[in-house]
Amino acid sequence: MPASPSIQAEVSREVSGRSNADSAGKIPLLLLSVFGAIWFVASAFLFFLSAMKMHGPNLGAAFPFLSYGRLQPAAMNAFLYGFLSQAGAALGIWILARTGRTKVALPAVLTFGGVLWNGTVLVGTVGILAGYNTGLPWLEMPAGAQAMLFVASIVISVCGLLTIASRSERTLYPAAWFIIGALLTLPWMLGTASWTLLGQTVRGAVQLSVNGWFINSMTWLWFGFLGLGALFYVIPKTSKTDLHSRSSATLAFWTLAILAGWGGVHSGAPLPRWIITISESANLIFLVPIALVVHNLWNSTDAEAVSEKESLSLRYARFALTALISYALLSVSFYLRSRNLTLQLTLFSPGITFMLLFGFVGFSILAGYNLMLPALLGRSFNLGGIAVSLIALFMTSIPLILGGMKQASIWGDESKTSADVVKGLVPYMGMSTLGFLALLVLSVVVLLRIVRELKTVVVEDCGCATWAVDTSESKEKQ
Amino acid sequence: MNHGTLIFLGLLLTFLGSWSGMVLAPQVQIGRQQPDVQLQPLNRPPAEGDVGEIYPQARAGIAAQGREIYQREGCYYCHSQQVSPHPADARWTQLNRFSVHRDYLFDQPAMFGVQRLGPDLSNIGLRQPDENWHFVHLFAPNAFMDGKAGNKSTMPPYLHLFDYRKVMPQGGSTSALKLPESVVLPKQYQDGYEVVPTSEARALVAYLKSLRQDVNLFEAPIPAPKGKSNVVSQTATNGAAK
Repeated sequence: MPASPSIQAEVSREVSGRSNADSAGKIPLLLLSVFGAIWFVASAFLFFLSAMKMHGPNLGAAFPFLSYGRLQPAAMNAFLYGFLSQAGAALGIWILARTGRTKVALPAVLTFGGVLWNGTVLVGTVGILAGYNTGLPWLEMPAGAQAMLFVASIVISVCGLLTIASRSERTLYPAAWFIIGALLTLPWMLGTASWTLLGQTVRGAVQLSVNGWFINSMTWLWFGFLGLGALFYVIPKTSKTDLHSRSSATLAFWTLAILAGWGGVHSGAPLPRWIITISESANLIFLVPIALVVHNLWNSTDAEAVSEKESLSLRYARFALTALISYALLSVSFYLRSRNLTLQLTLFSPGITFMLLFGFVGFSILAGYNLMLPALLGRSFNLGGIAVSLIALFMTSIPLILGGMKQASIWGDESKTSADVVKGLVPYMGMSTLGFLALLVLSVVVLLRIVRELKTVVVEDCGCATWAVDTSESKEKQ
Repeated sequence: MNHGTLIFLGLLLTFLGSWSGMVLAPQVQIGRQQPDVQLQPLNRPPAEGDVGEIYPQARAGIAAQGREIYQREGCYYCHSQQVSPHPADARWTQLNRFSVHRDYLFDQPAMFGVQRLGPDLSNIGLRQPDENWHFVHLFAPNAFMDGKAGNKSTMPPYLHLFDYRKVMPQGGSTSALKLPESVVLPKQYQDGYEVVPTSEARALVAYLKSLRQDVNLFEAPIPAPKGKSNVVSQTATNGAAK
């Protein structure tokens, strides 16, 4: 039976809206996406090198930039600001344009913002390796680079917010709420942290509180919201169903927004007890919005995906949800005061952080990439790499978490020394090193896939393919 | 929830909430805390004629430069500088005193640490006052492992903080490292060479030696040894209450 005229008009409007959204922002979004993938490779390589240093601390000992204390913060900053932030911002702005049935606003300015962001992260990462570390976790890039990052964040956020402000679709979907939230709060967080910590307006242990606030806010209001925005778009779209509950999404959004900044202080911090108690409580209450999100999205994934491409996105999305709930359950045991006092400065903390940042945020971004990049390039392809990504997640997070528990038990035994800690951690670190190798393989696979498709499109667009055929034909004639 | 303005205002409020709680309130409560004059300054019984000592004091000269080396090398990624009141942390403090805000007043930035792959260093200046031990440990971290099979350190050797220097005919330098036999120098430096710390190594060791949270504070009293009255704590408490 032929489709009714109204449905045909709706489909035509949808297709035209998508085409507008994709063509206008193609250059800046591709710039952010491709450089995001390049930073993914760079950060994975640095993570792998720093993991190797745990087994062979003498490797490259003559080169100061190869010491663990420089490699690890450089890897973390490249991962956070080079890969997750950039790829998440590209995906977020694309989703805003798609759901708002509009074009990406100020594409030239967004391109400038992307170039500025990349230049800053490059200067910052090289700066850390060269020894210009600020000494503040997640803010290690030199102060000048942090200031430029703040400016670039404003440029990117303004472009994203103007995109949604110019929408033709008046309904704001939950995916858009989270992305708007992320774009609004990023400059606030970077600005406040730069002003208070790098500007040295706070001192003593207050720095610990502000740094904890910054890390927790960035984790949830920036990375977490970008990841959720991606999932709230990808899952209903690939499942061809409506979101299970919009009201549940509203409740989760506001609960996360309210709690996000409160949970960054651990139980043994040299701070007043009330701050620690509030922080512990916020971390435990966090389970509620996470449970709401997972329940809501999981119930929106019932329908069968229709194409292989969408099926891959859906699988990435489901694994992202699994990582999120795993993080939530592990974090409950981590943030209980009795446990936190022993686990706080062990590998358990980076283990669950990696599960959240790579398992949840990273997988959500890969799920979205798998839809966005083919749309931007006008070609149908799959990113692939799901098996390697699962190996990478499993082999990095789990050994770190288990190693952290072992580490806590050894430090808790007064008869044991730091040599016993090292000896106890060797098997776990060996596993996690293999995990970082898998992460490196995954990042290379993703980058090569993107570059290959991009190259094909560029060749097709500039007519080089025709030229190549002509040349070969003329050679044959000769 | 279709209005961007509503989301903007709501987020602004929630953001201001956490900012007030975690940034502003701690700053108001403890951010302006000042150094204290302690009647009984260090880890020793009160004595006649004690005139008090200001705690904490800004690290002076070479130790301040050493803090920058510590920061540059990212030492805080493996070593913490915070002792919690939990019994498991007692191993990091000879005096059973936990860390408090006042201990970090002059540290910009204060490097509390990310994890404990190595020992906590809040009191390394008390625990290990021997300068040569620090130099050797930085030059060859495995030097002081107890020799049991499999014992090794994951700390990298900081070779760029040391120079190899030819021993002068009139004798070795007084600042040369006294290396234990377990440390084997590279072949080309085994005959007639000594290892000398650079100014950066000296600064770093001066900083490490300055790390000691051994002052009895009102908010972090040092418990009296068993069987003795807590004169020290009481004195400081009264002083602070005044």
